[in-house]
Amino acid sequence: MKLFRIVALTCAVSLTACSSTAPVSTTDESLSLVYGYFDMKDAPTKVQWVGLKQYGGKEIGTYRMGVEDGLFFHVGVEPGSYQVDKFGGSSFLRGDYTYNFGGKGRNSTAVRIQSPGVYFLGAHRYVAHEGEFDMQPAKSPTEKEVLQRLIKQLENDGSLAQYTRQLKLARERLAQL
Amino acid sequence: MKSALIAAAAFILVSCVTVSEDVKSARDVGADSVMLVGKIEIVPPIKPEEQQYRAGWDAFNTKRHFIGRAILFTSDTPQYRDHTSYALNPPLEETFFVKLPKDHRYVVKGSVTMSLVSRATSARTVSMDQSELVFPAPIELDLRPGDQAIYIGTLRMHRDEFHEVTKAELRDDYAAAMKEYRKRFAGEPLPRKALLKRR
Repeated sequence: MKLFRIVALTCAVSLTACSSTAPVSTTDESLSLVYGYFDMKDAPTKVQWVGLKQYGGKEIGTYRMGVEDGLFFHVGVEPGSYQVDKFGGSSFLRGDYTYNFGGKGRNSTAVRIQSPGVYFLGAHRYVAHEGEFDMQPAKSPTEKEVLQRLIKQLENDGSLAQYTRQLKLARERLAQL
Repeated sequence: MKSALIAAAAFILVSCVTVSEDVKSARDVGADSVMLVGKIEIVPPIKPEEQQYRAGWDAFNTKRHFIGRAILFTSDTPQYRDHTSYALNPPLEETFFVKLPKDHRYVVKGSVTMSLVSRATSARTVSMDQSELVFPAPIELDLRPGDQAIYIGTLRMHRDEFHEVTKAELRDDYAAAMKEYRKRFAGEPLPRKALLKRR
């Protein structure tokens, strides 16, 4: 996995160019809630966006997921095969970074969404080595801890209040953990 | 960490790496080289629309190295190094005839490029998005001092939708390959069978 430092606007241009900006339907019951966690303590920048790419035949598109302190999620992912392809962030000192995570086959965030539900892509930790990096699966935070944070976010963020079905699915999953 | 501006594999191929695409005549293979005969099959086969190549100005037609072909870097040691300077560039899904230096007995990195796309990110910058279907490596070639040509088999690589090789197998199609060899190199001695082995 290569770490690409890009001087300006990479993520905004490359991801928004192929993704829709329409709000996610609140009534579409085919959509899934997808979430995960990246620990970027040892990385050059924080993570501020995550690209969830759809695979299978012709490349179809990428969901851009928002991030809050390492927690990333999307409330409206259609059925299909996905994995985190790129993510990025910036810092005043180092500028904008795009981290290329999906260029060499399947990675540990890969998921096949065949029926609507909640899908955890795992917790991963950034580990640097010899100018490159790995995203290593991490035991902490657990799915339960990440989901608790996500539920809080869904409950408290006014712009997400309408996604009651996703909140219900998340609570049901939490009850199973 | 590498700048996106210098990540273009196209430049690497034309500037630093000798690439063997196809041997037309046995005379093209000197005493210090050996001809490899074999085949690479991807299961399911890669459809043309699955590969994307948009790397801007392409004065050297480097696109031809990527579309419908594999790139196999070879070396005299089993480790891939950035300065590995020789690559085989066989077509997929058909019998290939390529030339290899005799001291390069290892395939140290192999892949099919699924996408190599440059995107303008500002008036002065571009980024390069690359994704590959990466082959298992290293692979050792059974080269012997007297070899002029060897047959290495049909390497069948099964993949999933994430461009991950999920299974690799080798099939011995010597008879069919020799039929094609005779057509192309009439009168030349037949290649020795030296099937690939994973190191």
